[in-house]
Amino acid sequence: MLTLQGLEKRFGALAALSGIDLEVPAGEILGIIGPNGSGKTTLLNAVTGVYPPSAGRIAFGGADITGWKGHRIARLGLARTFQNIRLFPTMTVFQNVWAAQHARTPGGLLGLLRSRPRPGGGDTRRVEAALEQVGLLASREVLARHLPLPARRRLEIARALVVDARLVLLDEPAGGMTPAETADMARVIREVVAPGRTCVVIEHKMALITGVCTRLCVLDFGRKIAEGHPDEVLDRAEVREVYLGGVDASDA
Amino acid sequence: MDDYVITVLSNIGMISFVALSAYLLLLTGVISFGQQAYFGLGAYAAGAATAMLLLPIWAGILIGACVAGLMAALVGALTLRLRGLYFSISTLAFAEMVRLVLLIVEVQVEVDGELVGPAGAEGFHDIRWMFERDISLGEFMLLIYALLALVLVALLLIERSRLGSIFRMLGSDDLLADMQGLNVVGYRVLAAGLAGVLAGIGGALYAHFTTYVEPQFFNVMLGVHALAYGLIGGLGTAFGPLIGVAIDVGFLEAVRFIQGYRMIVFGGLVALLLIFMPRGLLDEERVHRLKARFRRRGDAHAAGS
Ligand SMILES: Nc1ncnc2c1ncn2[C@@H]1O[C@H](COP(=O)(O)OP(=O)(O)OP(=O)(O)O)[C@@H](O)[C@H]1O
Ligand SMILES: [Mg+2]
Repeated sequence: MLTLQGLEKRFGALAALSGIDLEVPAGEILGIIGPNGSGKTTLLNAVTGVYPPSAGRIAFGGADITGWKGHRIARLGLARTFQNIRLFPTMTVFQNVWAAQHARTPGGLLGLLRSRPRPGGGDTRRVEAALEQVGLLASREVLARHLPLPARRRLEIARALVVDARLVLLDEPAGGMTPAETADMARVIREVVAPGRTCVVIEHKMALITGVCTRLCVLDFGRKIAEGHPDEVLDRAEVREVYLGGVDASDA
Repeated sequence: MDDYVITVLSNIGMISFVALSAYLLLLTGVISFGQQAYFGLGAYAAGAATAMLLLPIWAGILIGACVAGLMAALVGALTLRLRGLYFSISTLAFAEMVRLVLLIVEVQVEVDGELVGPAGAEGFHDIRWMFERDISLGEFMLLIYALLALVLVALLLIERSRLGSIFRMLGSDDLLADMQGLNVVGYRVLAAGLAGVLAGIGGALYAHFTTYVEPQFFNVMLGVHALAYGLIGGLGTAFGPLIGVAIDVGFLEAVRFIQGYRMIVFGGLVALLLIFMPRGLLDEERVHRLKARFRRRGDAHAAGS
């Protein structure tokens, strides 16, 4: 589904990523962990076309997408969320999800001039279904900026659901959440996002990683230092040292 | 109505086209200081069509709109890849270039024994369509407002359409729009072309209302004002920039005792609004609340009847 070969990203003198080889087969939920600044978000940005890699190749679903613009990659069936949450703040919950859907609908110039569906109209069932799945249907007319943090993260996920993405990349989906909210997010990822999709989840919270991931990859200083089954990887001495060294595993 | 009132109202109408032009680009998140160039191009092209080629006024307006729109799309395709401030500066540079070119272009033809056409710094005189047909200022004002109403309806329809929400997505967060599969540059070029058409119509009307145009009128102050109108009136609806124009050209012009201080009052107003209402009087959130209230009232009506 997703293949990285020798992926490298430099910001001036800083090598945020170097020599990353990674294979994400279809149907997998791959977790990516690593200390702050280890290059996790950079990896996600490079895959989604926020910026081109400095070296290496990226293939998605059989197509070589190295250097492609973000909108072209997205149209291949890829969706993502953001570590610092990006929504259209002055649009309603409904409009945010609907916008994600119709941004990808082809339809030419005439299609563009078609009027927006009114909430409740026939064109809106998919949007409502996605909102239902993440438990936001009741808040559909609320402006996105008025939502509390857990709901905003779930709105980002609804946006990925509605476009039928084959690959969903989540950047710290439980960031800033309480243990209860984290557990709820883990359930959403397992039961709603994962079925029928391939997922990559960046996360610091072990509760989420061990609860949902089928495989785990560890980054440190822009390099991949371990990869394998979550329990086995977290047991390795070098991982405990770089990642869990300063942090209490039960809390992080 | 006396001629003074008609002139002020007509000015409000014609400036509104440039204000809507800048507003359309603001919607998509780009700041142009150069919409006056397309106003000017529309004025010259439309003037040339009626005064030199003796075409009817509707053809003049159409040609003015097309010339301005095509030019704007072309310039946009070349410059909209630039980020934020760099794009804004390029719009300013292009507009100044247009003005300087118009200052030296002299193309005149003989019509009824007189030379007509752009005469460099002298401007383009004798765009006499109104006089030749004995059309009064009042009647021309009606034409201005009829076209403005048409343009406004078109913009309101666009805002309700998918294209309208795509424009707002770009304006709100272009990275997010890109990540959702939208060709950001492509849609902005489209918006720039449409914005050029709007400014071009305004310019075409202006040339025929005043019967002459000179490059000096299309200076950067016009562009800056056009931008400010949207920021004052609000970016939540196309009515926003019109309110901005009405406040500046209508109110500040009419209140005579602040005449000398108009620029100071205007500048202060813009500064205050940018601090307290950064997206103008009618911003997206206020428009959302107003719509929700109307919808509720509508529902109550439907339930009651
Ligand atoms: N656009 C950029 N320009 C310059 N440096 C950058 C840029 N983006 C990231 N970096 C740097 O690259 C390194 C990796 O950053 P990245 O955001 O990928 O880390 P991360 O693993 O996501 O960390 P965190 O856990 O804090 O989210 C950091 O040193 C960061 O400062
Ligand atoms: Mg990060």
